[in-house]
Amino acid sequence: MSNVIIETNKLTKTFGKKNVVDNVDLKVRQGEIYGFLGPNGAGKTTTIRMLLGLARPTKGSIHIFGKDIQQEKYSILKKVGSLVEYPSYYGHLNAYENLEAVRILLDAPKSKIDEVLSIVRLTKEAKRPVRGFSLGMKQRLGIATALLGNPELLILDEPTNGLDPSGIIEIRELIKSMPKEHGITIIISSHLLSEIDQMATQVGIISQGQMIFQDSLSKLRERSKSKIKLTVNRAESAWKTLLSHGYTTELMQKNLFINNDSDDQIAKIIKLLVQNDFSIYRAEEEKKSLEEIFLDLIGLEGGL
Amino acid sequence: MGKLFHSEFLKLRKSSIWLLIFVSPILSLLLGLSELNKFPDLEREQWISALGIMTISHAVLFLPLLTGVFSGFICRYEHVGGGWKQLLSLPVSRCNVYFMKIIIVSLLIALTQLLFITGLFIVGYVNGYPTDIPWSVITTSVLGGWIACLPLISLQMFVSVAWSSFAAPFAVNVIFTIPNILIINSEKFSPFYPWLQPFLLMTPNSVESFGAFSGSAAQFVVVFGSLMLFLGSGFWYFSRKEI
Ligand SMILES: Nc1ncnc2c1ncn2[C@@H]1O[C@H](COP(=O)(O)OP(=O)(O)OP(=O)(O)O)[C@@H](O)[C@H]1O
Ligand SMILES: [Mg+2]
Repeated sequence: MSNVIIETNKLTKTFGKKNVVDNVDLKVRQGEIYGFLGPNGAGKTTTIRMLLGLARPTKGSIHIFGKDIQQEKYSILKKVGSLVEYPSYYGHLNAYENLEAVRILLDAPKSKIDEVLSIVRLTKEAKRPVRGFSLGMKQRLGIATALLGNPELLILDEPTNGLDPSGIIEIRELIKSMPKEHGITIIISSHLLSEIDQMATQVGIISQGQMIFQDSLSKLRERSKSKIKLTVNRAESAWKTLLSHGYTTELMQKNLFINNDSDDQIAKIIKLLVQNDFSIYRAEEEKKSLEEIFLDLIGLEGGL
Repeated sequence: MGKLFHSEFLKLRKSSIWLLIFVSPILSLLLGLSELNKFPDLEREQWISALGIMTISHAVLFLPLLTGVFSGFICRYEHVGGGWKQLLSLPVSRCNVYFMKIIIVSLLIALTQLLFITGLFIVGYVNGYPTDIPWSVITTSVLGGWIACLPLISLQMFVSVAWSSFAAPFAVNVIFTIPNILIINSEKFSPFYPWLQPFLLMTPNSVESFGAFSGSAAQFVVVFGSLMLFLGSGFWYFSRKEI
C-alpha cells in the first residue's frame, strides 16, 4: 500500500439548494495518474477548486499529503502545481515574464523557466506577449506554470482542452512520463474516457456531483461483460429453434447474441444449430468499449 | 511580502498604466505657470498661493479618480486572464496579496505626489520665488493628501476585486468624486465627505499654521474611520471570496 496523497471525506459543495459536489470520497495514492471523469457540469472543476483552497467545502474534509487543507494550506500548496479550467495568464506580459511572476513567488531557480518552456515547446515564443497566443499555446503556458515549482502533486483540469492532436499526444506522453521519472502524483480531469484511458492508472467517475465509480482502470474494463455474436443464415428461425430448446438469445440485426456466461453453453448452442442445418458464418466475441461502459455508468445516474 | 512585491511590480511595470502618474502633476504645473497664478502677494506667501492654486486641479478630481483607476487596473489583469485563481493557488496568503495590491496603488499615488511637488518647484524656479521654501507647509500638504487617499484606495480595491468588469468600479469612483465640486462650497458637509479630504488636507492655510495639518479633528475621524471601515471590509470580503 503506497501513501495516500489526496483524501477527501464526504466532500460536499452546495450552491443554492443543489449539491454540486455530493459526499465525494476521493482517494489518490502516490505515483498514480488519477483520471477524474465526468460529463459537463458533473462537479469536477468545483471539486478541484476545493482541493486548491479556492473555494470552501460546504461540508466534509480534504487532506493532501496527510495535512488538512484548511489548516496547512501554504505548506500543501508549495508542493502542488495546478491548472484550473482554462489557463491563467497576464496578457500584457510575454511567456517568460508570465513564468517569472510565478517563479518569484515559488522561490524557484531562474533556470527552471527555460526548462519548463522547453518541456512545453514554447522556447521560441517566449518573448511574445501572451495576449497574442492561441488557446493551445496558452494551455501549454499553463502547464509550464504548473511545473515551475517542482510539484509533488499536479492537479490538471482538462489540460488538453484546445490542443491540437500532436499537442495532445505530447502532453499525454509528458504526463505519463512524470510519475516514473519524478515520482509525481497526478490528478487529471476530463470528460472523455478515451483520453484518460491512454494515461490513467486509476479512475474516478463523477456524475451529478456523486462519485459513482472509483477503482483501477482494469477493474472498469472487467465491467464490460462480453457477448458472443453469431452470424447465421435464417437468423430468425435459428432464434426460434434455440428458444424451443430453452436457450434465450437476443436477435439483433440478423445476428444472435448470447451472454458469455459459460463455454459449455456456447458449445451446446452451436452444436444444436449445426444439427438443425443452420450455416454458421461467424462466431465472435463482442466487448463493450470503455466509452460505452462510461456512458452506461453515467446513464444510470440520469446522465447528460 | 518581498516576493509578492517583486512579482506585483513586474506585472505593473510591463503595463503602461503607471504612466498616469504624470498626467495630473503636468496639468498642475501648467496651471502653476499660467496667469491664474499671478498674485502680487507677500513674497513669503508666493509658494503657498502657488501650492493652493495647483492643488485645486490636482486634488479635487484627479487624486480621487486616480485611486480608482490604479486599483481598477491592478485588479483588471488578474480578472481578465484568470490570474486570481493562479495567484491564489500558489503558496501565498490572501491577506498579503490584498495588502500588496493596496501598497502598490498607495506607492503610485505617493509618486504622483512627489511629481506634483516637483512641479511646484519648477513653478517657483521659473517665477523666481524666494529661496526660503516653506518646507513644512509643502510636506504636510503632500503627505496629508496622500493619507486622505488611503481610504479611497481601500474602497476602490474592494469594489475592483469584487467586480470583474472595469467599468463598474470606475463608475462608483466617479459617482462619489463628482459631488466634490458641490460639497467643496459647503462648510458644513465638506469635513465629512471622504472624497473631498485629499483636497482639504492638501490646501495650505497660511504660513502661520506652520506645518500643522490644516484638518480639523472631525476630518481625521472621517479619514481614519473610513480607512478602517473600507480596509476591514475589503479584507474580510477577499479572504472568503470564492474564486
Ligand atoms: N459559483 C457557482 N454558483 C452556482 N453554481 C455553480 C457555480 N459554480 C459551478 N456551479 C454549478 O456546479 C455544477 C458543476 O460545475 P463544474 O464546473 O464543477 O462542472 P465540471 O464537471 O467541471 O464540468 P465541465 O466538464 O463542463 O468543465 C454546474 O451545474 C454549475 O452550473
Ligand atoms: Mg470543468
